Amino acid sequence: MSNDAPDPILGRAIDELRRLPPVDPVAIRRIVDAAAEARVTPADEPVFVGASASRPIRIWRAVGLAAAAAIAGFIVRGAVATKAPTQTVAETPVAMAPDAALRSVSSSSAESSPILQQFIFENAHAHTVSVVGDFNKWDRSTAPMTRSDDATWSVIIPIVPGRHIYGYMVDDSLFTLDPRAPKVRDVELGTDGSVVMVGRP
Amino acid sequence: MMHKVILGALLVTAMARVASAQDTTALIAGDRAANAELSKIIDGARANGLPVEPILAKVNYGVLMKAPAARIIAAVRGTAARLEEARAALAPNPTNADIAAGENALSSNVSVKSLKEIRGIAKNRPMAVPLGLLSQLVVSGVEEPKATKIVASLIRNGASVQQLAEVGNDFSSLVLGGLKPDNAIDLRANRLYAVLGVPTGSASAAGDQHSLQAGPSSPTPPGKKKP
Repeated sequence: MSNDAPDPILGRAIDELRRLPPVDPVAIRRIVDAAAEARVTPADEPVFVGASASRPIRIWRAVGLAAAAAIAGFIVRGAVATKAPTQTVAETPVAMAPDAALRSVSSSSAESSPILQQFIFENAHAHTVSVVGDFNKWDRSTAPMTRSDDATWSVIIPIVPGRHIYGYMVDDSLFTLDPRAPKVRDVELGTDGSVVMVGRP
Repeated sequence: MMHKVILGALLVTAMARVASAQDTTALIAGDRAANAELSKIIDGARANGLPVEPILAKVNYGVLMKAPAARIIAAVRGTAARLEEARAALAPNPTNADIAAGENALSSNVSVKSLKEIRGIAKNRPMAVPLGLLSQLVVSGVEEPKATKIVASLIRNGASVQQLAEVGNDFSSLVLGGLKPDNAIDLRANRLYAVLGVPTGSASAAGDQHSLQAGPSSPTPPGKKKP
């Protein structure tokens, strides 16, 4: 045996030391729960509007002006409105606005905030490819993919957790399913789409 | 200064009107009658406090797929009705994402009863992923009672949103690989039970244990990680 050859006894000892002890699932759950509680929600994260120091001030000025304008707009609208006042009071969306705001805040919890998701598609002949799906309201302009040297197209976009239907729009005209994903039929429209489940890591 | 304020007010009002018009004006090019009908459905849903994003997405999906206008209108009407049904099933405080997921589940032949059952177990947690998993199981051919039981059991045993999503993706990969849906979900759920430290033979697991066939190892969809 040469000096470079590994010692089998030493090797076994290293293997033994490398072996991890059994993991307690309760402990893991406790750690995960604690981490989830400590997670900074998007609402808590600092927002940087711009690099220059003067821009935030301008934006605040603009916001103030917009708010003043909106108030003035409501006053003007009320002055020239031809509808009866009872109709304005009866407008359901206005009455439901506070509730909607609360729902919006609660939905921004860690479990429902968007997650970056990568899409990969192979097509050597395409000139342009974009991802379309329910997450971007099937808008072909919002998620254009970038081609790499090996004819692989990819894009990373934020998607809220859940089950999503999608596909690829090739050359802005040909809808193509993801060959590596299950497909689902939309019976009402008579079309197929690919399916992906997105969850928070 | 006053004229600036008035000008700003007019600008804001005009922008709001344009945004509203873009939101409610449907996208079927050159079909005024269809667009008027779609706008009516969308405005009605909004006035009813329902999320309109799923309805707008349905319109765009139909247009992208070049579906006939009548078919798009029927699909949109169905979506609006299901959104209302989902909101009622997921009461008392469903978020817009919950309602959209409920609508998606209902369109996948999941019953209101199952929606209520999952809501009752998940309580105040977001419903999008649990209902998404349930939809995927049912639409793939797993019997609804069994699918509901498994999803409920996984939630009850502390499965995270990410783990549920992984179960959905791996289940689909197993089915694509040739495994029967029933066997695929048994296999994948049991693997998660092991991770969660739940004995698969116990009453706390799915309960209804099925014989497991040895299946192929689960391929991971692109861009995904296993739990």
